[in-house]
Amino acid sequence: MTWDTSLLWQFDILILLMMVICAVTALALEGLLSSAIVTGAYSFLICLMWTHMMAVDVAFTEAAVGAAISTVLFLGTAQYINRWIKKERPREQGIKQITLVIAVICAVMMLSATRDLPDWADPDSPASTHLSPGYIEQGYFETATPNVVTAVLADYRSYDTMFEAVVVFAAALVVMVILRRTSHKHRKLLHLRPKREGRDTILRGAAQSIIPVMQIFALYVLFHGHYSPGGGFQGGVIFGASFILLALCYNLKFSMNRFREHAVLWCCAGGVLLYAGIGAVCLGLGWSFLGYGALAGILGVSEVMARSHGILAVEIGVGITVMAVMVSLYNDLASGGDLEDGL
Amino acid sequence: MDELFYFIIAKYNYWAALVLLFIGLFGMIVRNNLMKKIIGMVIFQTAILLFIVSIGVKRGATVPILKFSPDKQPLLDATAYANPLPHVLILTAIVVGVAILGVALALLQKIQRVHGTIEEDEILEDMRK
Amino acid sequence: MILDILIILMMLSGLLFFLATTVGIIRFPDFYSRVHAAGKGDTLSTTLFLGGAILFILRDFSGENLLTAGKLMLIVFYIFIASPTATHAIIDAGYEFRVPYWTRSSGKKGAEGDESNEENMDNGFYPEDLKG
Repeated sequence: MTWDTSLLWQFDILILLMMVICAVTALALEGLLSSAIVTGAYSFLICLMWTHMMAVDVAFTEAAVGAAISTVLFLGTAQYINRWIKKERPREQGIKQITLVIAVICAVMMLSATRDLPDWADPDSPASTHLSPGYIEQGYFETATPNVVTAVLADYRSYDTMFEAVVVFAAALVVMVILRRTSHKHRKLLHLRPKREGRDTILRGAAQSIIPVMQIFALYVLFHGHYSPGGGFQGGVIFGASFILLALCYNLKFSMNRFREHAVLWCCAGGVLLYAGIGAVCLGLGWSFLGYGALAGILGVSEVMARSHGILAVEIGVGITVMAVMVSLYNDLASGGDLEDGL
Repeated sequence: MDELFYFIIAKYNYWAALVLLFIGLFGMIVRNNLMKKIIGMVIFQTAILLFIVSIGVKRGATVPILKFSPDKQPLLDATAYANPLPHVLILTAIVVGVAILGVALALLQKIQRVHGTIEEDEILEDMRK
Repeated sequence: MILDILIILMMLSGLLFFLATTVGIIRFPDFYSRVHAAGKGDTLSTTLFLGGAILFILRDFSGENLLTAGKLMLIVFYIFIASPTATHAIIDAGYEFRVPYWTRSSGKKGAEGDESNEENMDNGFYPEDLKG
């Protein structure tokens, strides 16, 4: 009956407690802006938790997506709605007790079921002994990619990733369809900010010095994904965030002059097309769909290296799509669909 | 006492995921404001992701990026690296999560435009008119 | 030995500034002073903390450790730019939206957000060009 103290369970419990507090606060606060910010803090805490669970790629993605992009999307929406909720709704009170009872019953049933789950951090649990050792032990010799997560993401489970990219692309299209071409002019509930041309020099100076570095860093994350945490998703999100930062520090018109709407749409579709196109090329060369080994003849390298290069190409496709989708989501949500004025 | 302590240490992660799951579910059902419902959905989602990632944790393991010995040979011991499979599934799920959030917020703005409110009971009243 | 003491001193002073930041956020009376505490204390304590980490890594000197230290230094540099800028942007936005500010009299009269605060906003608080 021993337990390993190397996992620092005290730290875990502290963070999990803070997460529960953040979750309750985010749902209980009356101001919607504050609850959006608390949701950002919640994302940051879960990111710490994942780093501690050694899921660095996941934590990286969550830091870029949860703490940055989601918060901006929430704030972008918050300018069109009533930011204060009214207290004491009769309907809410009636439903509360029933839900509480049902939730507690379900929670107790599921809590009793956790006794059958393997112990936390058990190296001999079924999930850790069946499929994943094969990926770790053979992945390097089959794909020449030290980062096992990247290898599994873009090679062994590449169908998954392709359709995730398609889902993200579809989401951008759906948002566009919902919000564009409105029948009547909507009005912002938040007062428009006074025009302050030239007054926020500090903000713009800082943005000018940070944005190029952000973009270089995004490219580094994308291209170095074979050897370190990172890859198409993270690189794409960071690259998209750089354009969102530009729009926040200047205005939406300025950033849309730099990255025009047509270009955004082309990038959205082009990334998915690149991904699927590589699959189709492999299919045409007589291999299975997305069997990168087929590219060995074209690139003039061994099959293992061809798989490594195929992973890189596919990650670039994912990165382009994700980047363009993030920019497109921001443009539509923050401007209410008319692309006139953002946050 | 010792056994109880061991039991807590072995399972607390699942419990935290469960508690967050039900906080999110409770918020989604009970709160009247649609924005709060979306925040509840985000919490619900991350609770599930937390559960799946915690399945892949191994004691004494490090990040799933292969280490190399000085003579450039990879160290291939499956117990030394965390399980990469849940990480892959969750990584894509997070990005899809932000796409879902985008669609939900777009619908929210549309509802605000059509009904002029995002409180659920007021929307229902408006629809009955 | 001296390096160790320096590292410990940096870490401890970083912790101290974090504590001061937290106390400031909780105890200060109005929006502006709270954001001010958060921005200033956060930047300095993060810098001290990461500085200690850089020294700790460079204790056993090698090429790889130098690379890690360089990355940490970049983080410090960008926190040093981004954190005060963010504070500036938040305070600027609050100023434009006329968030009530604290004065000695408003502190005596009642809680913040009181009507007496709103009156203060028009007593020459704004420069002329910002009005309207």
